[in-house]
Amino acid sequence: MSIISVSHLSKTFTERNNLITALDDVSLEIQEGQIFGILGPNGAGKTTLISTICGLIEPDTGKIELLGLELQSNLKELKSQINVVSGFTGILYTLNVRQALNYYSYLYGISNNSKKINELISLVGLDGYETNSADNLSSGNKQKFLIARALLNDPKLIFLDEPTVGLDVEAAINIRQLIIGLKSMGKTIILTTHNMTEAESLCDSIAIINKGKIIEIGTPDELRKKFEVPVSFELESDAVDELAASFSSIPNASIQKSLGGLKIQFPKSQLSSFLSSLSKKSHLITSFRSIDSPFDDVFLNIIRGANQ
Amino acid sequence: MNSFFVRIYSQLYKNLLGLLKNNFRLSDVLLWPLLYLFTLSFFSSYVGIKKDYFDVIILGMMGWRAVYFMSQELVASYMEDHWSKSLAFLHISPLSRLEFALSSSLSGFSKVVFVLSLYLLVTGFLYSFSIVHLDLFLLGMFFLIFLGFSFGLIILGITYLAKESAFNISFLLPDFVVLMSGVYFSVDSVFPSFVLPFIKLLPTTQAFNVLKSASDVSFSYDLTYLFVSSIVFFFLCERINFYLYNKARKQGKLGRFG
Repeated sequence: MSIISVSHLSKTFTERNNLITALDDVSLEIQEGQIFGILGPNGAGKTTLISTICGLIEPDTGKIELLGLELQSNLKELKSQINVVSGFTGILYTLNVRQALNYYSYLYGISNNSKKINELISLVGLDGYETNSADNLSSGNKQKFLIARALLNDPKLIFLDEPTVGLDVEAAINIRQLIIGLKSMGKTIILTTHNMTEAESLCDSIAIINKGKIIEIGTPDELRKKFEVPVSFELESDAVDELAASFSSIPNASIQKSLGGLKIQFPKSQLSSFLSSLSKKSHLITSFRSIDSPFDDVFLNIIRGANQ
Repeated sequence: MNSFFVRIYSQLYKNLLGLLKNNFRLSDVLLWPLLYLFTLSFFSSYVGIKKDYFDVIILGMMGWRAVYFMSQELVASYMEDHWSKSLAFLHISPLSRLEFALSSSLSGFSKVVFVLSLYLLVTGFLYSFSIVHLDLFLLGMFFLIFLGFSFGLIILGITYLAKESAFNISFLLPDFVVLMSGVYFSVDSVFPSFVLPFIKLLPTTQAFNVLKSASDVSFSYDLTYLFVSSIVFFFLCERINFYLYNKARKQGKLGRFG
């Protein structure tokens, strides 16, 4: 079932007498229970898209349906079904963790929420921080607090806008585990991130947005297949020059030699000719390692293709 | 509790907790009102003002505080979320535009009640001040609270678009109108005759006259006009607020994520 249906959404802003197109005929469908990634360079329109879907910004044209209901005419009802985590915003500096969670519960019309707040504090791992000012928490704990806050109204739909930005490795891993946990709770998650590895590992589907337009949608695998990225290998050898010469016949291959080894990169279509050359010179190789092409390359291929 | 009342309680909860944690905000209901009171009362003692007129000054001061807190609290409550980069979260919550205004006005009203009690206590103890006509006091105060709330709606509307810049207007606009409404004096004896018809059209002029008449000095007022003009003024302010809210929403200025 489609939980978000956006069709032909457009939005322009006027800034210093210049007309800026933030969203340009955006259409997409997001299925219930998915982690759906929205990726794009800075200023591509990701935040405007989220803000518009949340009802914060009124679109110029287009239609948004959430949970099968048209957004504009059911705004109040739908607001109770969604929530957002965005950077480190949404932390009232005058309130401590428990008071802030109380406050946000009240905004959603929820009273007698002590039990729920205790559960959420435990879920995100903020036990012992209840009386700390939310504004003074560490970055990792702030993000946990924001996730707890976003779960107060038990939303069906959660927007996570760069949830691991600025976090250390351990905190980022914890947050990713929390996100997977949210999915297993049946939540639909819309994730924006600049971390492509994170997007690939977490998302069921990904939309790439550039200059306000959705330019690609698909699963990470589909995008990888569609936007072929070079295959890379690292080899160690005592005869680097001889080895490099044997690979020179592979079309479009790029070879970087270093002391005691080389790195070769070529289009996936040339894999068989690479393996053939390799088998002839296998006695020269002391170590062999394939390098995964990062999803960043897929992303860049898509964006560069769109910009050409 | 009904979810509507829970949402209405939200801003009262936030603002009262914020008040207790912030010396500046606490001063707003304790220190500044008392300094203001003593500035006027010491000067009145110095010039030997008659008690009747001293009572008018105290009543006018109370009315001014009522308008100030009721109008300013809507904006202060909103700006609290702006300064905390939390406005977007306020706007995506089910708390509606008018529920926010109503909710914030409750904390404004709490401040009015607190400061008026403080004034009554101090002036009663130090200057034997008492309200001669309680009915007129309550009626005048009711209208000033209502009009203060209406002013708050306009300023809140401007704040949707202008944020910090509008915060200055939140102090300026009600203070200017209150001054023009004859807060401590009769407008007839102060303003030139050609502006009087306009000044008397202000519902605040009528409301201050009702309030000041709670003393032994009587001022002229028209209750029917006050009632009708207050209602008209409120609806006008509400529409302006609505228009500016939609304009800010279209321009993407209500709040930003990230």
